Amino acid sequence: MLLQNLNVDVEELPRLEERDFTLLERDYLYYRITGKVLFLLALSGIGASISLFGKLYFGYWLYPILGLLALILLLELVGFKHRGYSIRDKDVSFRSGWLFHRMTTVPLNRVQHCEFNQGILGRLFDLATVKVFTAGGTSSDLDIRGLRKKDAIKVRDYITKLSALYE
Amino acid sequence: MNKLALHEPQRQAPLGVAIMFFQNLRRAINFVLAVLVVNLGNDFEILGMGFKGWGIILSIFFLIYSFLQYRKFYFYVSGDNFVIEKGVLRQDKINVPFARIQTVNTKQNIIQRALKLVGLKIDTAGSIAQEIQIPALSKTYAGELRSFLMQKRYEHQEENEEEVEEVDRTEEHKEPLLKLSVGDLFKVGFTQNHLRSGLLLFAIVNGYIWQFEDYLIKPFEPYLEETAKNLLTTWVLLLPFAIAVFIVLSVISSLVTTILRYYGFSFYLTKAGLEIESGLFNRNSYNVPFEKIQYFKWESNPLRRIIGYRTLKVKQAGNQAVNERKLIGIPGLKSRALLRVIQSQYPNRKGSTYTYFAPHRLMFIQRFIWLGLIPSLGFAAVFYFNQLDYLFYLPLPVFLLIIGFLTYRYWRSIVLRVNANFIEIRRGYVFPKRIVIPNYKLQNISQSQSFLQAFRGLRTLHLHTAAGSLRVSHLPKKAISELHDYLCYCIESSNEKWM
Repeated sequence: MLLQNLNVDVEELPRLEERDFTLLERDYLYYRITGKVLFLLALSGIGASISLFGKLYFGYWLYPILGLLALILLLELVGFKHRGYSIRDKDVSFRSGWLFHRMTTVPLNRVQHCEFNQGILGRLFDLATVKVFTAGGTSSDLDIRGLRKKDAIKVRDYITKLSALYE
Repeated sequence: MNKLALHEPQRQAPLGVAIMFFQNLRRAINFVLAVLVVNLGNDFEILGMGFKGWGIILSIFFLIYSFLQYRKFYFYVSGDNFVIEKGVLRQDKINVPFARIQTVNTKQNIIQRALKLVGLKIDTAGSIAQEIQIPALSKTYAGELRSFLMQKRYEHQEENEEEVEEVDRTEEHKEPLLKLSVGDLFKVGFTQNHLRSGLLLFAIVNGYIWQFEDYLIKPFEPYLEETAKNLLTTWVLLLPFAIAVFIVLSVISSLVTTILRYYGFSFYLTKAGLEIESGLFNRNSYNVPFEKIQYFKWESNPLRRIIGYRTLKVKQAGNQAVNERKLIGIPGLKSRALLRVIQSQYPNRKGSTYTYFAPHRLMFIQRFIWLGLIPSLGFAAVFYFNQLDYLFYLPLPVFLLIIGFLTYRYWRSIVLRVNANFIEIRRGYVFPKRIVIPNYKLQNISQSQSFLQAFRGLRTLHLHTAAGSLRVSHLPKKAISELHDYLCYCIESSNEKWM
């Protein structure tokens, strides 16, 4: 206990803990990996066409890309455990990242609006993102990624409903 | 209301035609400035008419257009809205609900001052993209309209809130808390951050010169090349001279900008908020209602510290770009006046004991490596590959010592303190800054951890307010998680309006 002399005891506050966080759908991991692999494939496509029609040794692009692939797989597999979201009575939190970890909490009485969206790749995996906007600027807005579409709609409706209470 | 007669459409003061004319003229001049400069001296001919002919025709056209603009500009009250209609070719109708009005400011540029007219600007909550401005009103009318609008605004906002505070909104005649005399102005001017104003001046001059590069520099090119060769040999002599010129120009530019911006500066503390009036040519007046203030920040610099001046900045809600424009600085405050402002805003600032937090020494180490070691290694490498004399290496240890000292003091200066109602951040050795945020003004909170921090169990706390984000890095993980939970609790349990 470091904080002292407040009008409330910190130990009595609802602490945001490890167990509060729900892991994301497993499909979200595959979704991320697919996205990155597609990008690497595009890069190798460029490399391959230069090698076929011009003069470029295959190894010069193949090995770096394979290395990158291994790195991405490692980061994504380990990093997945560190992603998660938590929805409590009065706030929503999202966390992500292994090497660079970040966790954001948005109290529901500061939510400006809340929206749901789904990209092309997301439709393939049936995944969607819920975006929560506050007046705190774009760097602080919260995106809950990797939810099933029906869950995402539920989450959005829940946040919208609760945050409307504070208007 | 009777005097303002707003139930029927009102026009601006008749001299508004002149204001509109000059506005149009300025836009037109900006547009053709490059052409004029290039053709300076030699007349041109389009459709058989020269410089003068076109000038007269365009002036007449502008005059008629401005007159139409003036005729078509109305403002009136309809229901709960203040309405402005304007536009000659395309009619625009701007509806401003009274409840959405944030502040009403008056502005005077040099032409408006000469004609004794005042421009009125209405700031609204939310994103009405158009600028809401009435450029030409008589001074008394503008004052009345402004207090009328502010009055309406309070009435409507109080209707929405249940507890109607009985605050006396009638014109209390107020003593300015701060008035800058010409002497103060010089003091403020001389203690500006000259390096910044110098660089700013350089950037502006640079930007303008390259526009006309072809015409200004081309003719001298052969001559310049020759002198450049000579200059290179004598650069050692010229460098101090150039630095001296730069310093003198910087100081002059700081003085000029200070006088332009802060001439006749007066700062009032009223019951509704802060009021500021300033400017030599462009006379602006701002008022900031208390509830719009997100946090206060005050800062100083080495020169100002000698005379005990500080600059207070009032951070309001809004996106970053708007913020920069709306950022209100109050220079030349002595610490007593400063404390009075803070005290009037946050009376219970010292209501409970503060808990203090300071960053881990990893911060010092990282900054020293990035700002000191890496640059000096870079220089050493350059010297080595150029096989320079060992004398060149001598400044490097001195540089390292200075950087080491400054980063050490910077690291030691950072303090975060939190009590039941406020967060205060203090940082900076050369440029000390202090920030006070009431807990409930926070929007949301993040924490982050890089892998370097993870080894030592440190984290960074990010505080997001409606006026921008702040962060304090390298605090112990345990402290951050307590702060995170506590501040979330503060936001969630507070019923106070953040705006």
